Amino acid sequence: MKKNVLFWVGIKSEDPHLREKHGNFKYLDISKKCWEYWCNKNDVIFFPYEKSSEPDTSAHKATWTRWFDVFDQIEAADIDYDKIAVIDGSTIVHWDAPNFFELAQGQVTAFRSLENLRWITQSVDGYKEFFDNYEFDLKKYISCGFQIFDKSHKNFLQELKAFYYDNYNQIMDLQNNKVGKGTDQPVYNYLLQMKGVEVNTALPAPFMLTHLYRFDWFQHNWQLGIDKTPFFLKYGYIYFFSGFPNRGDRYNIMNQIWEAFKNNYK
Amino acid sequence: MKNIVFIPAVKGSDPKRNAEVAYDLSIKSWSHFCKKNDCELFIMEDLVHDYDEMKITWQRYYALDILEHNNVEYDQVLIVDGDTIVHPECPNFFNLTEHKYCGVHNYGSMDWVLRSMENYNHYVFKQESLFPYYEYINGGFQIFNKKHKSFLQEVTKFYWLNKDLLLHIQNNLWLGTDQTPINFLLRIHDIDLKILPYEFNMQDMHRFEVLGEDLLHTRHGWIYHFNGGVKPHPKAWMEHTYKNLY
Repeated sequence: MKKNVLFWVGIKSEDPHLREKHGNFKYLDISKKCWEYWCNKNDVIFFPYEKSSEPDTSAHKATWTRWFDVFDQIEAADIDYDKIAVIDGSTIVHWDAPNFFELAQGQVTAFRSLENLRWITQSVDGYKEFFDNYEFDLKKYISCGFQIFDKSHKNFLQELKAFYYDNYNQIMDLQNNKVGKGTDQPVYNYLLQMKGVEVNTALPAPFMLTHLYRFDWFQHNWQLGIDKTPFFLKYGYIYFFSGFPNRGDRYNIMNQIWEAFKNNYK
Repeated sequence: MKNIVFIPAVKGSDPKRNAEVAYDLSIKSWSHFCKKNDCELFIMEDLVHDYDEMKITWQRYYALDILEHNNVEYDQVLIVDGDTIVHPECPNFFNLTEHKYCGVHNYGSMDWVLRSMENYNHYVFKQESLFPYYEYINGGFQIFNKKHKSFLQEVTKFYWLNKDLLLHIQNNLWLGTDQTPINFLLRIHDIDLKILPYEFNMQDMHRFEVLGEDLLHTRHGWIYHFNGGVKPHPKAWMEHTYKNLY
């Protein structure tokens, strides 16, 4: 019987620079425990993506290779899958989060990215010439942190892979030297639009809370004084720990949350 | 019957606000929109009730009564804040409504939105359940039509029945005036609500890092709402935006 699969991106790069930048990737251990619990509870196969097909994870970051490996690795494991969610390891899922697979409707399911419109524009503009001045629709820019696919999207990811390897040097130059705004996300977005891939952005917002500081999600209702639960826990399901001034903050915050609420994941 | 753009712009109701908002430029930009899309612009220049009795934000729900009193025939009506500038190429959003009550989600500080929802729920709408926060709309851009007339009458009636409590919350908790109550009332009266995307009411633009000398906001949407405490004040950004677009 077909099952839904959660492809959890949790590769710990061996690159000393990346390890230092990401605090040895300790946050991944927390994310993994939450998602294992959630998958078990919702009868979803938890598939940890911890080994890339590319041995050099500095030259080929996991944010890229996840798209190339997702179908290959799941099929190699002989899993009879229905839908596949690809989720960043920089996330925590609420213990009672509903099963979002039930809301995916066949298109690529993703979230519109609005949190930092300047960053988004710079990333799109930076790649414009590379994409022959394609008129990108900024209103359709999505985040790559959480996508849901089915088998029909395999072709798009294969095209993305071919594009990546065919243009590797130029993409790396843009990514690392000229633009410096993210890794896969700008190219992924351009190709989605250029190839006319249908995207469903109707999944309710609580399934992707990002930039928690920026939008004051860590606050609680201090005026009523009845409940000190922070708003993100009360009203959100999936928390992306991104957009912090210091990357090191990610582990500290995720760990505090884990220590406070880990009993709910048993 | 035409669609109407209705802008509350009552001079003298709030002197500080009058000095810091370029109502004239907002009106000019909306005038352009109306000509282009065969709509009619209506400026609400007079208060219905004394400002201390009822803030202008509540008085805008008299829009249909005011139009009828002035013998203006209408199909759909947009009530829009005077601290907005509309892009000259803004699509005709009246065509997107399906004749439903429409608004745009209130983007920005979720602390403010959720405290407002929870506190009004606690003090005013005690019998009601909280609704999804992501369907909470901003009050500065709302579209309705004749079939919503009785609902709008219920809104103002609700205000007068609960005036003292509403004013107390408004003046002591600082969680807005009409916006959260209208969101509750839409649910209580089972109004079919359609949420339009961010580009039709771009709020709190500093937070989204889209407001800058390069007018980046004009690339990301159509209606610029200079709220959320834009510095130094909305007027500066409204002038900059208007001069560059028109």
